[in-house]
Amino acid sequence: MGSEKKLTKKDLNKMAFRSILLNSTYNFERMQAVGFTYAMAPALDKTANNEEDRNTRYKNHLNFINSHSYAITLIMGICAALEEKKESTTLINSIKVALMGPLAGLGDSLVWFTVMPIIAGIGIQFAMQGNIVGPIIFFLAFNIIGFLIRFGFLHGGYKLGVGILDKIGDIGDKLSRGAGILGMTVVGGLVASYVSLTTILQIKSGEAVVNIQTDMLDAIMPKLLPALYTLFVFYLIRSKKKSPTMLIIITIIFCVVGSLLGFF
Amino acid sequence: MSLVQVILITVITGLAGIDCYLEVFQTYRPLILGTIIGIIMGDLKTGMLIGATFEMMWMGLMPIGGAAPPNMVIGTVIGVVFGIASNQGADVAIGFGMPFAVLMQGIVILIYTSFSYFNNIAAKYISKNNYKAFNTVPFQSLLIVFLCYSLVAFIPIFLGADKAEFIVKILPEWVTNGLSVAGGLMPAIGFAILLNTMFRKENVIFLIVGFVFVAYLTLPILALAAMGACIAIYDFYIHKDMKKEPINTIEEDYSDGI
Repeated sequence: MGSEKKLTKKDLNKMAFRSILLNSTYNFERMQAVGFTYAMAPALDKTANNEEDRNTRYKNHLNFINSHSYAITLIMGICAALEEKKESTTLINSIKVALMGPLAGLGDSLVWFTVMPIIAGIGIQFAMQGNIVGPIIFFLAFNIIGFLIRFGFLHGGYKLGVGILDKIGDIGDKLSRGAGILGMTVVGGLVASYVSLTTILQIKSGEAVVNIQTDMLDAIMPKLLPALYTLFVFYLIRSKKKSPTMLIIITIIFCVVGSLLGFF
Repeated sequence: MSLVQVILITVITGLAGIDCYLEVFQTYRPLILGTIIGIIMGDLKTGMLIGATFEMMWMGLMPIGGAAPPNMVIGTVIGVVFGIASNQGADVAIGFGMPFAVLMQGIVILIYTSFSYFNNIAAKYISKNNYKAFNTVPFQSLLIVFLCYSLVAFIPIFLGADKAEFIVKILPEWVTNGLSVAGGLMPAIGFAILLNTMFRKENVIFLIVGFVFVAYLTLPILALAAMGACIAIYDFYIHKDMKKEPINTIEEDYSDGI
């Protein structure tokens, strides 16, 4: 009887495929709950003892969950293994809650703060030269990596089963450290290459005209103004807790007023 | 703009909106969406350039943990459509797209709030053991997402695309110049938000390394990334060895004491 209820590779692939709809009913109250249950459905349908058990299992997964949109499949894989072993709903739920935070952090630093800036940076560079390869590379590279994570994490999660908690803490810590270094280096470069601000101010003393941008600022450090403005915005976010919308408004006002006064 | 173009753009905006809500295929990223809209408008190159400019700005504005940044889908669509229709550059296009992006941001927050409704719907279907109906829930919600995005894109494009040039002409030069300067600064916001989320004091030096290599040596990003990866891997090994040492010394201390 036990072998009948074993999940196959096909079941796991079905789950990974359904995880595409994870965020479909995303809401402030229970975040990805419905989408998570939707993705778990193939495993729940197969491993349920009876209709009542199936009902309880479905309802259990409707609890709050919020993690990284791709890496979350690791939790799904682990849950599938636990469902197969008919572990208690309490254990399954607490493992979900324990994993969703660290995994969100790991996924964010890997996908959004490392893979995304690098791929986007390369894609933008091609696009800026008018080369159609830019958007195509961006689309292909991101999706290949994204789906490798989605399917790989689900199968990996299933294999790791229960003993995962210690392991993810260990690997996750080291991966985030490395990802942080790589991400910071790339962002430093992106600031230098893509933020642009120059002034047209001039100082006239008698016959001599000093162009502030080329004669002064560039001599001190290239890209000085963009660096300063980025630091200023960073300060507003970190210390003043300004929202992105507020920052956009501040930037537009700063530039339009600066343009009116003849700075830019 | 022909009616076919308007309809195509409306439908594609709806689909990109769904992708944006799901965060899956990244077809909603400005670089890709801008290129697609550019093709429909008959000016691939401009669409791609505007998309790339928007991409930089939004790079740091990830919808993480339920945060809703100004909406990149609507911002890109309106920006590219009006940017191409009015023959203005990418920087002015941002000025066109931004008000609508902020409007859509508000609508997305409304969606995030009202979609709690689907939790109850799903629970109700499960209580009745109606799993077939449960499986339709994600599609019900996505239909609403599609309609919201299509509508917000359709109204300004249908009513005002041809007036875009006129709107730009009405603005004094210092305003358009200011908007264009603002366009150049927008990436700073994206990068600063990115920095805030990944900020670690001990990693600030790497930020400076990246900046110096590109500002002074104009290194391409790919080369910089390769270098950064090397540092990260080196750090990984160093860190691994360092972790073992303290344990050994503690053991030695114990034996000495005894």
